[in-house]
Amino acid sequence: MSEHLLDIENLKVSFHTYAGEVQAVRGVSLKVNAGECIAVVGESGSGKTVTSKAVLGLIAEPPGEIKKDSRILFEGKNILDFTEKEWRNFRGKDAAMIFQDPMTSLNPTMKVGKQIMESILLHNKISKQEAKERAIELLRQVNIPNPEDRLNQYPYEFSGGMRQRVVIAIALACNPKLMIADEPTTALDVTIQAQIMKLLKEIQKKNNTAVIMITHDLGVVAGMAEYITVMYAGCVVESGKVEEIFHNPQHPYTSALLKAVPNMENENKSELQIIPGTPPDLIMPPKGCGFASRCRYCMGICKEQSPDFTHVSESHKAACWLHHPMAKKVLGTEDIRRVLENE
Amino acid sequence: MSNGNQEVLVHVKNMKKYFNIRNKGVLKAVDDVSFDIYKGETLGLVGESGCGKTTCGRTILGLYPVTEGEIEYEGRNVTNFKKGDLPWFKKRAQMIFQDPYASLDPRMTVESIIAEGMENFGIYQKPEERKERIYELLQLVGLNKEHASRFPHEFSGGQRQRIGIARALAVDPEFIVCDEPISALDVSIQAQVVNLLVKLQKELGLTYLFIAHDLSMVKHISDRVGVMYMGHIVELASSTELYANPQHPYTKALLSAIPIPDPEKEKNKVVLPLEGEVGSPINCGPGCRFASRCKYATEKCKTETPELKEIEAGHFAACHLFE
Amino acid sequence: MTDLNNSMTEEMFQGLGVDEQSSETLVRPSISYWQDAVRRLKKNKIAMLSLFFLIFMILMCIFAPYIYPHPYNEQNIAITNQGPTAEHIFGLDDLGRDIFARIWVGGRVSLTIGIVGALVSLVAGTLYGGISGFCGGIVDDVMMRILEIIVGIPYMVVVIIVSVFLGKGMTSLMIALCMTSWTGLARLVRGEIIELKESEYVMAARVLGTPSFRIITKHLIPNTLSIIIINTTFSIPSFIFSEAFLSFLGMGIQPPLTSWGAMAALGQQQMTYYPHELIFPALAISVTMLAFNLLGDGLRDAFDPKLRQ
Repeated sequence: MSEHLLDIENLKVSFHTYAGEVQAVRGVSLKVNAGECIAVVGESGSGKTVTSKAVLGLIAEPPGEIKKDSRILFEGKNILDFTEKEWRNFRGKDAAMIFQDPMTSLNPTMKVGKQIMESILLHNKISKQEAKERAIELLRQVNIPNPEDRLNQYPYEFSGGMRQRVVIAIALACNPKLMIADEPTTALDVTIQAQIMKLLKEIQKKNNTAVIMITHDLGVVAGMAEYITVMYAGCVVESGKVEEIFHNPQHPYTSALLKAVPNMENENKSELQIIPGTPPDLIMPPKGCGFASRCRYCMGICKEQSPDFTHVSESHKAACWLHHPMAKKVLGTEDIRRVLENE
Repeated sequence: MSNGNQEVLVHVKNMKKYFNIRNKGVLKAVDDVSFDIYKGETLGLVGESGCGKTTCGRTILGLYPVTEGEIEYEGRNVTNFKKGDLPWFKKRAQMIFQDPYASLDPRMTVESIIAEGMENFGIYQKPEERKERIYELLQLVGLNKEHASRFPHEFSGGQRQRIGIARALAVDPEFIVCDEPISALDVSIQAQVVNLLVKLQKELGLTYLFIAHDLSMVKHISDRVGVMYMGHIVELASSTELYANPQHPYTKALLSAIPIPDPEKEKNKVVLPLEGEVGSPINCGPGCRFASRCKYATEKCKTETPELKEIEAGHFAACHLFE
Repeated sequence: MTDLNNSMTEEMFQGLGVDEQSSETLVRPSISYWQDAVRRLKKNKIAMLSLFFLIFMILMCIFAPYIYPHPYNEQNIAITNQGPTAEHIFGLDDLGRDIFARIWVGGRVSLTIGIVGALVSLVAGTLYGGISGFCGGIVDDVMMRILEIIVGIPYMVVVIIVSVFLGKGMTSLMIALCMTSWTGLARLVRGEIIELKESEYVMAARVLGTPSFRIITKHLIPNTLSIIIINTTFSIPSFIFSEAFLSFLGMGIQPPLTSWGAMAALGQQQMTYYPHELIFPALAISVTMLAFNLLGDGLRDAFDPKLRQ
């Protein structure tokens, strides 16, 4: 029935701590089609990393807990029902992850070639020689010069950007259908960031791999993603095509996020549009909209009840009370537009 | 923007900072760097990791002994200070650190973290006065006095960074080295911290040395920007000039790599290819250090180190192309 | 949805504006590092059980000899090697002495050596390692070379040399053990201090003009305290075992005074016929060591910042 590669429905994840239950993800729904690149944008603590870890079964229970009515369908199968063995098969072969810090995601005592071959041999029944050839090919694919020599080197002999390429090569080892990149460029310099983003884009196009990019920086994904989902305080607040999000944001948080980045044409030291305050602690999630306490136009209803999604277009939806007919009555369309565009 | 009649606050002359690496040789983290910081301005310092920008800031504040060269503050020589100069300089020059998770002692309350500098200089002898001032500082950075008795791990990254700012302000400094104060923060929080820094500069007349690798933020906050590459300053100009009219091939490549938050522009953008990676700064010989990645490199670039020269009024670049 | 819509009033859609401070409020209860560690330790049942067991052992060692009717050196030749009875709870040894009484007197020796030894090596190791790490450079180099020489000397040799001068007994045993055992902690503390010295908050303190002495007392010591405590807890059982081992070989405690090791040595000769003479001292040694180790594990989990949420 499902035509999506990945279909997350109403995912809820909590962590149990000394002070109580932290509701890190509070009902996230997300769909990814084969070969598509979507970006999940949100600040730290918005639940974007927890969501991606849940997809790969990397949430330790306890202290974590995935609530019962959550569903994650991968090609129609609910992967939350997987056994440990099925998970192992799924990870690497069907879905792979690229972590934020290339300095810690490689084993420092193991040769790079061996680390790549290990994941190839784990999922394919081929000889060591074939695996080695495949590893060389992979390193070539991620633009590492002299892959034959590089295979026999240790991670410390690689720079940050090169290591991230190796991590990508490992993720690609079994041609996964889905690749999750968790802030793949945050730890890297801006010139290296451009190289890595270009590489990821090439790979996505060539191998027809679906990519979920997780980032806190909207600017990074502008050229790469087709769809963007914006998360805040454990919930999705807006999702849509990349053009819709950038040119016609329908949630105050999204538009504030876009304005918070200094424009190159901006006046020097002019005041940046900021989002005041700090995101809520999800140990006591707010009753209403998660963004209410920082929103420029917070209304009484925002603190009482969380808003439902309003569909702006077929692909574009946002969860904000400003889209409620009653808001139009009180405010008028022009004012709502001004609030949403953060003018 | 003319700096000709402005007062020089920090004068750095031919500063070198070398580290001896056991069995490997000498790491030239900062190699012969000269610049002035004028009173009340923000000097930005950008470059990729490992280019020596952080070492440069720390050396100016005396956290590392200078290998060679001179640092003057208000005309007084503060290079490897003598005993009497130390408190004088420390009270005037402060620092904001990069990692808000590592720069606050996890065992101390916010109150004692902010009070540390006051105790050292004997500011506000009476406990009530000191407390009052701590509350004032917390308010100044957008926190409140309920936060004073809390421990750092209870705060978010942005809140911690603001506590770090309050700590630096506690001794009423004139000059603050901001060592990548926003690179560990979320985008929405970065703007908060930058706005706060700008506001404080206006209100208190502070001078900043703003170190970062995020070029767009540096442009926003700085009056002048210096670009560093492997221990050298390769270009230095006013920020509008530098971004509108970059001259050094490295600066050009760096600027073209900034992501644009606009899907159409970003898709059609031309990134100047910058092949390869930053080389090793250990035991490097003479010559332009960017030569191995530069497409204009000639034989001369590999043998002779270019000097920082004024190519237009107030615009300096170190490249053989402009000779 | 309809009834919800009806209950909504236009008033609810009036703007409220931002209250900046409200989002800055911290909702979690304030908890300090030490409170958190104690809370974690309390949750660890095995560690708490070990802790209570150790307190019980210490109390028994202090008070049992005063309450129990048989002194440890009283001989009852008529019933030597008798097994456990109601009168003599753990039985008697080959000289007719009450094993139960001797366990607690021996325990005094064993636990004293364990605790005093661990405290001495704590102080010596922390000071030595702290100075070496904080000063760095040549001082560090010289101090570390000296330490390596000390590590190279086997403690058996030291025990023999010390007992030549001071005679066999508790004092010489303690001196010998203390002389060789602080090196591990010294290395650990040095490594930790070197790491902390480069941390940003120590750098911040230096920028703020904090004098070295205050950096040590306010930043470095509080932040190394947890690993010192853990290490010390783990070192107590090794002291107890070293003592038992040396006494077993006859190089430690001399009669009539006794320790668990000395008792085990005596019991071992009678093992085939009267196993109770070996079992009780051996149990005392192993259960106490186990309890210290389990407590140390619990402390490590409680203090380890990587495991904190």
